[in-house]
Amino acid sequence: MAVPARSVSFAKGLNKLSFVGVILLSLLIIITISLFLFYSAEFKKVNAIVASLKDQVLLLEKSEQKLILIKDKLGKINYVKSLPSSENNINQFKKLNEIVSLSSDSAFTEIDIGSVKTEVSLFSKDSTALSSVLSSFVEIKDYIKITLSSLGFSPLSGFSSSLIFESKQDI
Amino acid sequence: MNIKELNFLLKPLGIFIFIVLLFIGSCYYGLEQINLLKTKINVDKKSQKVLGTKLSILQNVENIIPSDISFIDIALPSRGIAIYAMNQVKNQANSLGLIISNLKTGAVTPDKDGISKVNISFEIEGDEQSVYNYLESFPELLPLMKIDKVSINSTDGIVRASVSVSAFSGELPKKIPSITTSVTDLTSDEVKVLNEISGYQKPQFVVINASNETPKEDPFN
Repeated sequence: MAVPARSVSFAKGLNKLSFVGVILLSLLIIITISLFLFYSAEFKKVNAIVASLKDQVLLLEKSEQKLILIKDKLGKINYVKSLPSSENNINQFKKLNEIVSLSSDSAFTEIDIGSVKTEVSLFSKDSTALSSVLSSFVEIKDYIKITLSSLGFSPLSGFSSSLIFESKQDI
Repeated sequence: MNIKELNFLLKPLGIFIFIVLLFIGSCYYGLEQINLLKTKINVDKKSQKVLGTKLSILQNVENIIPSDISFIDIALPSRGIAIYAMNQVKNQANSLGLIISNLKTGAVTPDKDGISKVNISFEIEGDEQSVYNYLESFPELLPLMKIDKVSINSTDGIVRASVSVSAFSGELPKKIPSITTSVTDLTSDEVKVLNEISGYQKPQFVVINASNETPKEDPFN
């Protein structure tokens, strides 16, 4: 029995498709190999540049360590500098001290300077001296709050007062 | 369809399927290899960029940072903070003609992020201006110290102050980053702080040199 005509034409069609497929496959292989070779060359080139840069960076290892050490220390130094301290209050207290020094009838008997507040004990011979010193204190703009925490009077020694000066906090 | 027909179609169909499979396989494998290469190239190009920037920063480092950076280590020493601080406290008092007494130091306690502190307390005595000059000098001394509290009293023109100070130390970095990790240059604020700190007063230590004395006479011979 002979093979039917439709099978013969089907086989011929498959052969034609196979032929086209072989050409396309060949083209694909050529293109793939070309691209592979191109990217391989590109990779070798970039890899060589990176290797050269790594060698140069290695030569500067000491500089890198210096930079890392300095940046680390500077970060810590900035933190320490931001911590509260009494230095500001010490500077501000000098103004209070000048006021009291100018008055011959008043004197500090105790001074405690902290990072947040300054506490003083003040002796004043009479009410005029006391009010003069207090008025001068109020004119200093460095403090957000001045508290007269105690006031006493003795006919023999005069007025003794305790004051608390609270500073403006740095933002 | 009979067996003869099937046999006839088997060969061309087989060839066609084989070519199709080969085509798909080549596409898949070829594209995979090319993509792998492209990924490696991209990774290397990123490394190249990072390394290029890093190299330029490191080459510029020596122009910005002073050659002697011992002051930065003394600002926050990794060890011996109590010794540095006490030395500085005493030297400053002596230089201003103040009498220093009751110098005490506490234990080093951790603070934050590799920073530790130690409390030092002492008393100073002298004229009023010198005492205030002494207290005002602390912000520009190394190692970095903060005055926590000062109690001052004055008798007959002589001022006595009880001072409590915190001195700080800082751990050295524990890890050096890998060669391909980027570094950042010093910012203008960092350069400013660096220049500021370089002008602060370092503690002075007396170096004792070995003497060239002749050996002592042996009394037994």
